[in-house]
Amino acid sequence: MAESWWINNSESETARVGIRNLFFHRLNRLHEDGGGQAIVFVALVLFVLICFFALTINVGHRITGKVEMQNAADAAVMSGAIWHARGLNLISIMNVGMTECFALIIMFKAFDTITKVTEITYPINTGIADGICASTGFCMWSTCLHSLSPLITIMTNVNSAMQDLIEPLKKLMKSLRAVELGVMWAAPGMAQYDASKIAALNGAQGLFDTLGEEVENLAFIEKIMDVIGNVTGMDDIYVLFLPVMDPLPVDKDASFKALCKPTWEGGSGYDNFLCWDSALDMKIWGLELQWLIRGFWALLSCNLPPPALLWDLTVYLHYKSLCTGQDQSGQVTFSTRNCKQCETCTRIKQRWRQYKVEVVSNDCRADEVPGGEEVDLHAERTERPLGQYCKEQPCEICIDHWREGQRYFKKVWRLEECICKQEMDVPAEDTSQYPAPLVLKDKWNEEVSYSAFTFKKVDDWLALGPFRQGGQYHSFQAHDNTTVAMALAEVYNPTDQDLFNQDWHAKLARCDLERLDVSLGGADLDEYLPEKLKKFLSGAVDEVLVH
Amino acid sequence: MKYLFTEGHDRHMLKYRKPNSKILKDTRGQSMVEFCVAVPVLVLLLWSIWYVSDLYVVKFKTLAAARYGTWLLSKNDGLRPEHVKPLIAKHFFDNDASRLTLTVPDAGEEDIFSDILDSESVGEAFVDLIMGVINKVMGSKSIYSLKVEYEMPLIFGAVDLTEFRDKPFQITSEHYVVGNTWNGCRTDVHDLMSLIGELIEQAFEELKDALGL
Repeated sequence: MAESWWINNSESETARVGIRNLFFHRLNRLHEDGGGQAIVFVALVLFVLICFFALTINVGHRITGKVEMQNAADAAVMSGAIWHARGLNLISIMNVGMTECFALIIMFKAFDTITKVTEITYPINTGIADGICASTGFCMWSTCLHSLSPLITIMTNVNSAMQDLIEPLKKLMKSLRAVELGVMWAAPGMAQYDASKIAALNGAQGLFDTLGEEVENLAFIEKIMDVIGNVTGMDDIYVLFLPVMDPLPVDKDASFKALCKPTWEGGSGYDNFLCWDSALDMKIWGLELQWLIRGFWALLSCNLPPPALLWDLTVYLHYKSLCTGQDQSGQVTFSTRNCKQCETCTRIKQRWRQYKVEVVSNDCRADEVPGGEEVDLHAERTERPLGQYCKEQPCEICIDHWREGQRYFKKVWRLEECICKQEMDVPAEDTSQYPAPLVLKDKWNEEVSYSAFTFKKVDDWLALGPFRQGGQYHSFQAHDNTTVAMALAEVYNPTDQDLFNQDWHAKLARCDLERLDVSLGGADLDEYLPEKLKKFLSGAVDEVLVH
Repeated sequence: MKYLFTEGHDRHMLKYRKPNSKILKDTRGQSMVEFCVAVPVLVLLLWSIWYVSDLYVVKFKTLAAARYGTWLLSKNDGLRPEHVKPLIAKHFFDNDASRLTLTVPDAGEEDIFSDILDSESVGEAFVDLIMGVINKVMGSKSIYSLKVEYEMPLIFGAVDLTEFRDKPFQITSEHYVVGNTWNGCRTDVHDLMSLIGELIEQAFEELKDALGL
């Protein structure tokens, strides 16, 4: 058994050696055989190249998605911010419309006062002139006054028509104010609507579709989406636009008196409220009516005091009466607007010797005025003796107006003697009847920013990136295969930052998480902001392309 | 089978078959031949990678061009795509406008308030009035859009493959934006007043028509 085993063993050993030799022989042959090695090499290179090909497409695909989302975010945030700017522009024009209505009311009231003064003085002047004509034979004034009789009738009728227009103007002011309040809420709604629409047009995908489970876990976003959906009627939201549905940053509680209050009394005054300038210049009706009224006053100039001299002061007194709600009185002893009135008065002075010229308008030269001196009203105001300005007789009115009316009297004054004294009294007005325009909130700063996030799924063409974790595929991106982009836009006004300049614009701004304004309907939600959303937003900011 | 065991035969056969066998079994140069066969494929693949990256470069160019062109259009109502085309060709495509096509895709609706304004019921006359003012003041056209198409020639490196495909690749990008324009919409107050007057008249006429007066 042992031998046989040996024999067998020997045989098997021989066989084993033979097999081994054969194996190594073949292995050697294989090793030496160069046939097919290029195929292996080519296959490997081909695989690597195909991988690179896929990589090129994947990277290109992802970057294209990213750029598309950045474009979508930029366009969305701009469209939203533009709606805010448009809202502010619309409110601005309504505000200007309100002040123009107010200016018209002031003008109509001033016209009423002047008409009454004229109606009182006309018969007195006519009597005096007729007496002079009868006693001295100087009948020019009397003739002039008698020729004015039809003009006085016209003036009375026009005045009556103007007074009928005051109530409708008040109603128009109130309706403009109501529209402003509507715009205050409608513009953010339109901003949300258009931002979402633009984002969708530019390829962004719906928030629910893209984020899926993440949105479900973020109850806060869901709540926001519900509100936006209810207001805009949109089923899905394609952009997260912040702040959400905030009313425009306007102060609707600003009081009428505070707006009217002059700057030297601590109010915003004429800077915001244009009615005073408007009423004086009658910008609203253009130059034609302005010259018509001035021509009308010129025709009435032989009725003393000439209405042209009363006009500016009367308008001013009515303005102050409406602003302060107190009785106002003043003297017509000056002319600020044109020199011809002064010349008229100077001629009258030469004729009657009872008028003194004190004030000459900006068109007069200093060397024409005996003892006249230039006073720069834009210079810093200092207390100086009155006599320094009015050499012979102090002119309280002009000094008062110099103190108060920097904006009103913009030009250089030169003083002369006073002329045409006339007391004017304007009773107090009930200002509660007038709605105040909307103004910007105090806390408004120059940079009001709006931000937008857009989302899109970008799948790899060849899934080389994802790795398996916990039974699910994950890619290396933070939000699976969701591409996020973020953009910020600012609303600004290069002309003047108030709601009387229709020059509001929007521009893209640098992205910054610190500047995100997360609020809903005006309520600041930063405190209630879930950590998860903060994490999500900060992750998005880290990841997004910024400009 | 016999000659296999016969030396003479065997030798004869070997002698006879040897030259043939040598050619077949000689592996010298085989790699080079195989490599020469594979190289065109590899080069084509390499070129296609190059070409695909070029496609993406052009894609980015069209994206930027669409964005630039749309913003130009949104700044000026009078501009048309043909006015913008030379600028886009100059800034993005080396002044080559021949492969470029610009169109204005439909943004869904031009007039944002068209749905509301189309209403005919009497009760909505006031809404019409207000929306008319808003449209007039803000500018009724809201969304501006531009589609940029670039014909990518089928040239892989040095090989022109145009014969194999009639149409070149069309690389297309669109952009949509809300007009950031206030010029032209800036309305003076007396314009607004006269506008409100006109609109009130219109609304009044519509009311009269609706009531059959």
